[in-house]
Amino acid sequence: MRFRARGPRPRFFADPELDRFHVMLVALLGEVSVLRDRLDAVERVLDSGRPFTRADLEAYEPDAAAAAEREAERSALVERVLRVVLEDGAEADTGYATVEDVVATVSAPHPVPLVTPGRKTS
Amino acid sequence: MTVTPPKQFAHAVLPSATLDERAREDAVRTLRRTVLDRLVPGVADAWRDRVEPALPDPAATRAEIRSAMLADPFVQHTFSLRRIVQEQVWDTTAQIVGRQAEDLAERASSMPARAGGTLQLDPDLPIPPYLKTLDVHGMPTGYWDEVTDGHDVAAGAMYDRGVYLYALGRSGPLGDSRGRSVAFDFFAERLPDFRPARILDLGCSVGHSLLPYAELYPEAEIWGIDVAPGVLRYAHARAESLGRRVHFAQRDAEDTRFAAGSFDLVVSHILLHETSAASLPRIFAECHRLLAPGGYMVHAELPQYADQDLFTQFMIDYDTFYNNEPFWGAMHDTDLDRLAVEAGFAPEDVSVAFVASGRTEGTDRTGRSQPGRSPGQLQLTVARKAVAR
Ligand SMILES: C[S@@+](CC[C@H](N)C(=O)[O-])C[C@H]1O[C@@H](n2cnc3c(N)ncnc32)[C@H](O)[C@@H]1O
Repeated sequence: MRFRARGPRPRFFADPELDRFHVMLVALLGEVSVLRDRLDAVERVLDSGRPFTRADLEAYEPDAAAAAEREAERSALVERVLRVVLEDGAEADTGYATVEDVVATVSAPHPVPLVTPGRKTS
Repeated sequence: MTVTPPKQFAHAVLPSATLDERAREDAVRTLRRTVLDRLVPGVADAWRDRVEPALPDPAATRAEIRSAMLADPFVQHTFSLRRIVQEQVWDTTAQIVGRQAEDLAERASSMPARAGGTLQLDPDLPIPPYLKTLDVHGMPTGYWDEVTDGHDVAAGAMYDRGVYLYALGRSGPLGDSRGRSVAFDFFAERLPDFRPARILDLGCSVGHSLLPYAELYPEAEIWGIDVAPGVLRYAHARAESLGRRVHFAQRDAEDTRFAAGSFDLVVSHILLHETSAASLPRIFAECHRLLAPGGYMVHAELPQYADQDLFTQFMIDYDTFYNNEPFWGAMHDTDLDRLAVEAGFAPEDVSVAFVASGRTEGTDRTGRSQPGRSPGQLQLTVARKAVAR
């Protein structure tokens, strides 16, 4: 069985090594999710209070409520890992372009307005 | 709350998955949904807020949009993720199918043909060159690889289980939402008196879109053809296990070798964009030859690019460059009506119809909703063969 498709693979980043690292990172995210799901399955089977075997675990199928909980956990995991991209540019803007500007402002001996006039701090 | 999709229907040849394999599929599905729902819409924002304002002149082509957009780090990241998720769909599915390929072959070959369908293979039929240059949508068996020595069905199993994952389960438990749209929303609704006696589906793959026709026209003799043997063996076993009488044959849509005038209806579903510019006119001409007078040719695809703005074209064109669908863009630029006329249909017998798409990505692909001829619809190229006087 082949795992790679025939044909040239497109590249997205200036450095091809970044493309490769991106692939590995996402593969690892998948593996972590699988581990979590398996641990969750063990805990839920344990909750039944009955002894169980690996075969019982293998046959585990979540009911609708458990499936929704597991899905929410999985989504949260993906969001945590992707947050830096999901929230690209969404740092709460206080009107200072760089950390150096903030340092200079709070270090000035005389009081200066901490927020550039006319800009919101939300 | 996030809703988990319905389970894929476990017909007799659907590959089974272990606890970890199911978890891997769930991880890929969640990741794909997150990319489509949370990141892809940001690509439209990047265009509006950063990329378009920085252009010296307005973009004149979607290629110009693409080259400007691919310099934006957020767009690079989002498209890279989208590509990787697609690779993960197939990686996950290949692990599942690979370890049970022998067993699936055995199950398919021992399936009794209780519904009365047949399977004809032709080992000498060449695979078209365009299917050999790239594995379409990144599926590493292609449609035509065989991985076991026997009655191999691996490519069919890959397509069935993998496409269900790709579609996030939205194509329905039998993966037939697209075929149902065309059969029931177009033929049953808009041509209620049309009762074809003999029907042919070109590029039927595992028969997802074909089986709804057996439901709509139970009296008809129904044929599905494909060039790839593994998907056809799988399609036959699947149809029999679902109790649908359909005949499958390994033939090329460009030259089917069926008798002229022997079908009342020739259809295809998302086949055309996976062929080539050279192949397209030959397929249309073959459809014209195959039809009896008064018969219909209908090809279902996503809407053509002509009516869409350049940015939307760029978004939909993702698949051309990043999802191993090299003819996707050129096909959507082609005037299919004119092709039908050139194939011999009278201009007044050629028309275009739209039905709600079973297609699952809808507005997610563009990052914004499209009124009218939206990507959430299927465009049908409809042509009726003249009735001889
Ligand atoms: C996207 S799949 C079609 C899916 C199917 N029609 C459905 O709606 O579920 C495209 C199929 O067309 C087949 N194909 C490509 N070129 C062909 C040709 N010239 N003749 C017959 N089949 C072809 C491929 O092998 C593949 O199985």
